[in-house]
Amino acid sequence: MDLLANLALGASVALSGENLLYCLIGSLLGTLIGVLPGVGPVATIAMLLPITFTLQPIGALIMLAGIYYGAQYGGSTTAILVNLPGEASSIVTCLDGHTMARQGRAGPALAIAAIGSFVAGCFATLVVAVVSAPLVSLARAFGPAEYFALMTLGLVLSVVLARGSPLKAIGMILFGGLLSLVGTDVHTGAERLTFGTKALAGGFDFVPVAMGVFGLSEIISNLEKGEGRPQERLADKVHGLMPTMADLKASTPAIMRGTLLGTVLGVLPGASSMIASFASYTLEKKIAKDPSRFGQGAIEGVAGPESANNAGAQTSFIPMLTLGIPSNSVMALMIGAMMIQGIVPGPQVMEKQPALFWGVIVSMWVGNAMLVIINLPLIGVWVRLLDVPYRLLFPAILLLCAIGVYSLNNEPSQVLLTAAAGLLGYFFLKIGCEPAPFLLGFVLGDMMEENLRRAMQISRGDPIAMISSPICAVLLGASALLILSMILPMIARGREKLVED
Amino acid sequence: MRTKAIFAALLLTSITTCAAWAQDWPKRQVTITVVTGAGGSPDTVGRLIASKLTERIGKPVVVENNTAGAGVTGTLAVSRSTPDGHNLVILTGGTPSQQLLRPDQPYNLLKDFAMVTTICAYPMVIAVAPNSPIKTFADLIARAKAQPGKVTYSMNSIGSLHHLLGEWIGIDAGVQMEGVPYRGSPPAFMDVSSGRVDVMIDTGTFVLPQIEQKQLRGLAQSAPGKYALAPDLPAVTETLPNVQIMSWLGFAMAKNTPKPIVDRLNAEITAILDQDDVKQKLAQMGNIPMPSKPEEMLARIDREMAQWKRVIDAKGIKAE
Repeated sequence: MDLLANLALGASVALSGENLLYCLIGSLLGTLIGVLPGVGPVATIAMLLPITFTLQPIGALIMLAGIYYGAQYGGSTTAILVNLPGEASSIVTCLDGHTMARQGRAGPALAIAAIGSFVAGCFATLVVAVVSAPLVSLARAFGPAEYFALMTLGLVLSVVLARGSPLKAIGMILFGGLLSLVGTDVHTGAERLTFGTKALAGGFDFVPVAMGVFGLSEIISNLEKGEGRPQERLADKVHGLMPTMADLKASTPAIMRGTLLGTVLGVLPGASSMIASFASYTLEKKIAKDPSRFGQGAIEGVAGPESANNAGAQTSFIPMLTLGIPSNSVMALMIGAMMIQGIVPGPQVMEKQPALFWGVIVSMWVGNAMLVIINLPLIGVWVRLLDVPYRLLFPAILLLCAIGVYSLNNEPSQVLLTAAAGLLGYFFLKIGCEPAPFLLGFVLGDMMEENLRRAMQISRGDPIAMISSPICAVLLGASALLILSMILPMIARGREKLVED
Repeated sequence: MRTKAIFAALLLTSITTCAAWAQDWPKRQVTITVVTGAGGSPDTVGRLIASKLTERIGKPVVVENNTAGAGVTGTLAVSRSTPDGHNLVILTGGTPSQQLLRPDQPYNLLKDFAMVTTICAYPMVIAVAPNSPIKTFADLIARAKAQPGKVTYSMNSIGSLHHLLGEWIGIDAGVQMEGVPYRGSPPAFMDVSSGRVDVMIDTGTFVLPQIEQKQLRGLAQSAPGKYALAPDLPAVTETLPNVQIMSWLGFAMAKNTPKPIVDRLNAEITAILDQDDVKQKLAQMGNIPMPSKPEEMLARIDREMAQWKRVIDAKGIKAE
């Protein structure tokens, strides 16, 4: 009954007029910046930080949290409509979401993304309220060796989900991994692959690379197609804005599975929300009766990953709320906001500031409800956007991208990098290589290396340490099985061919 | 006679322009560059000062994060900006050692900047998991002595203050500990608090709240004596009298910025740091205010570089 009393306390805080307003402002602002390519929650929250100095701590946190998960909703909109992943976790949404939009089904894709996110958000918020403590011990159980094993699984998953030849996918992963190594090596301090230029000492940022490889290359190839551009034909084909019963039936189990995956993986700091969305996509593809639909506009391919990343966004609050440890830069900003208000983040917040702790949790649920109410009617507006002639739409997208990328570091060089990544992505398209495995390799490559070396350093060079914990054994075992399941059919096919010959 | 008149006229103009510089400033928005990510200690402190400075100088003061080039890009941009007092960069206690380890960086810390003032300071803290068998700082040294190279400590990248302090302790105590590098404090905390790594060496701003929340147990801190915000925590100097270091944040601008502008900014920031609510907010983040004169800040950097050179040479630390 403690929980009910706590939730009641939280509700009394979160549902007060003032805090409802903060929640609404946060959610709206989050949706807006999520939709704008490149402008992320980090820059927004950083700019708002001084304003929070003078607010009540609860209201401030509720608003900042709203911006964060609101951006997750908004981010999927650009991924689906114009193939621009604002964050690592929406890369997967591009695969089937944007294909659906091309087929005139942007409405159902957006609606399923919003509904899936809402279900996932509600469930994950409940998890945050009820089982934060056991889940945080899972986060503690993850050391460098475990992270390495998890990332290995993530990379294997991305090979499995690739549409074309596994060999090409592996090549793309390795290329992405190689690019991620550019910059200062944390273990030796050496500047690697920088060709002596200090500008590369920090390596490449994710957003310019992802935006270029996905979004810009898409624009280039659309323009290449000339008058018969898909978007202009698109609008005639739009049937319904809302998903059909068949869509809902196909999506429901995917939403459930994605929610569970995201909830668990979200607790782990780092790249976990990205791995969660990739894992969810692979899972849906593996258990689908007809895996070939994936990449061709399968609604499960939107429903699962979108639920996974929103669930992960909610449970990534767990390390912050229970340990005072930020799992990403948005959380770091929120901890900064708390400390400047005189609240020391950590396990005692729950006891010393119950109104704040439970108020924020209940506000997450309220915010998710607001977001679904805001987003569903907006779908009509977004889909109308596709009516805009492409010759007007694409310069606007380019301009927004340039502004967004520039604002990341206030650096003009980042805009040039985005353009270069766009050309690279166009080259990938031409030679039939997929950008998704490339980006996963790019995000995970240096982290894997770092964790592998750290694990070896801590175990003093004993390789057994890499597989000695049960978590490592399971994750690496699953990776091995997946690789086998991929190779065996290939070998069998090879034999058939031999026999035929 | 004529030369005298010209000379007098020149003198007069130079005096008036000097005063005019301070009067004209600020002409427009003032930008504070922070070369670490949003949410870090320099960023939060920078935004706090910026909001106060905006009220006092009547022009907007904004913080811009530029993490490109591992911080070199943003710092270089400020050192090369027009020296008119509209571009500041926040330097940290980690900046001097970087100058030593990366002599090829495109600016010279001692020559290419006009220092304004240090802002605040905090010690480094040495801590362990609450259930760690290591009970005191002396205990840590004894264990490290008994098992050379076996005791691990978490640190930031090579040549960070975390690393240099760990090695300095090693030199003065005659022990060898193994530094495990991390990108940022949160992953280091996870490994130390669950016992995979023995000891955490990190900034007071990060560790002190964790000690307060009983998620870590403090062994020692690196201030010259007791640290006001953690009076119960022993100082490293109680065991190793020479080992003391305060990390700090400080403002710098392009060299050749007119002295009146530097002095005006110095006075404004010193006044801000004297406000009670600022002191309180800094304390809540583990900092004590530390305003200083521009030349004191430069002298501090010079002194710290000499001190780190000894550690770097003794341990053969290299960034390669």
